[in-house]
Amino acid sequence: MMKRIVFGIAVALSFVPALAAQEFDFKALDKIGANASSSTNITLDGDTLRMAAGFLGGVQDKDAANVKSLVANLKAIYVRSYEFEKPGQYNEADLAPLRAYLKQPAWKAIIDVREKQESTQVYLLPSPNNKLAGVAVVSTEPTQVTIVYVNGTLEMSDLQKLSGTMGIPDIRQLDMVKPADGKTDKKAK
Amino acid sequence: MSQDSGNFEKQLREALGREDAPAGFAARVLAAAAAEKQVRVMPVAVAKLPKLPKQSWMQRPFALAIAATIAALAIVPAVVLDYQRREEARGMKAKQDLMVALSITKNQLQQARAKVQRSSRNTQ
Amino acid sequence: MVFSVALRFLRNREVAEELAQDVFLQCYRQLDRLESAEHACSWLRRAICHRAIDELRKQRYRPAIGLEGIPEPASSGAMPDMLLRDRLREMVECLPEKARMVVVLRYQEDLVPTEIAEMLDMPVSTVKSHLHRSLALLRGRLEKKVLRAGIGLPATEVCS
Repeated sequence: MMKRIVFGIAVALSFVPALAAQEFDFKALDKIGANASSSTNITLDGDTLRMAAGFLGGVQDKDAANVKSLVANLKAIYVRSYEFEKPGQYNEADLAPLRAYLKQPAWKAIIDVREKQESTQVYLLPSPNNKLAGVAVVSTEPTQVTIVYVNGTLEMSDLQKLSGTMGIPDIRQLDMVKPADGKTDKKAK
Repeated sequence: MSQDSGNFEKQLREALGREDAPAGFAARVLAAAAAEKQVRVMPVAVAKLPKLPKQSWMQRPFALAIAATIAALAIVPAVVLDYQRREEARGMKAKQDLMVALSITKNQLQQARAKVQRSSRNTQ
Repeated sequence: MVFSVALRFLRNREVAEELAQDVFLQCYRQLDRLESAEHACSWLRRAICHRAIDELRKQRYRPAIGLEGIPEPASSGAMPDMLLRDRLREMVECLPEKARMVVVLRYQEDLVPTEIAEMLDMPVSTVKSHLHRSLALLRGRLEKKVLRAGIGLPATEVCS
């Protein structure tokens, strides 16, 4: 009992300085794509998300309503996706800052699959009342790295919607226009 | 204790730091002011603004400077329209980026699920 | 500044923008009474404070969650809490209206107690009392949640 109290006090006392640490800075991942033949770099903050949702006129009403409902409580979406011409063109160590960040106790790794030279992790950041405060996916293959980070309040059912029940087009169906240099750099901000 | 207090107050300052008004806010205010002016005062030319006595001009240069600027709001509607067109272009781009981001998210979550299923089949 | 004060106080972007726009229009209508940029700034700040407090009293909306519903920070003191700022903002939102505005004016606008007292038409001693009690309450809530999480207890508690 005494040890628990001492531990609790130690946690409380160490809490205040630790609070000065910053949020994850996605600029730390810029190095990964240095040799990429193709990259997709999207950062959507809260205002841009709401603006975007307001322009969902081309999608069927029900789907548009679902997407609007999903993004209404989101703070940001970050996507970094890099393709390389051949293996060995990115350094796994460049992902270390993100992996260290997602190793915090608050984040729960619900999927961690490694096979051959591919690995995929899915992390959730639980919050009270059976909600989520964040979802992160880190996927690496020999010639591809993809990171997705959704920050904000989500319902558990939103995960299913994100996985494909919301009328979101398949990525292969989207017309990704590539400039002459072969790089797709879609920056929203 | 005082250091902890100082740290906490610093965190509070960071948390409550000023946040910029949303995109287009200034334009909306200007447009509303222009609309109000047109309703209240007709399409008043600058020449019709009352000439203030020298004494009051000297006393309120700030107010006159703002009034002169607002008088120029006769051209605001065109500026606002242009701004609205640019905002629409921004919105369409944001929508496209949102759909791409959601598509990639969907793809990644589906692939993760498929890998888990494959992995559990292999271990059976 | 105007929008930001309204947003930090009300935590509702749409209402904050609406109020801020109203205040600017009100300022525009009273331009001839403003004598300097400082006067205008002070006028705007005072106007948004009072409008925001009035807005809250109309109860057109309520805070999304009470203090007890705010997720606890990461349980380990050695790890950063990326949502700390959001949690602090949520906790400030749960303060009573006058205390909340005092905290916003102090920590967003960096006003001293005498300036806050003049802005809100209250005695300086009351401003200081609000500041002292609010800080103690916010610190206590944050530390209590960490302590409970650190020894494995759930974070739920009655908001008192």
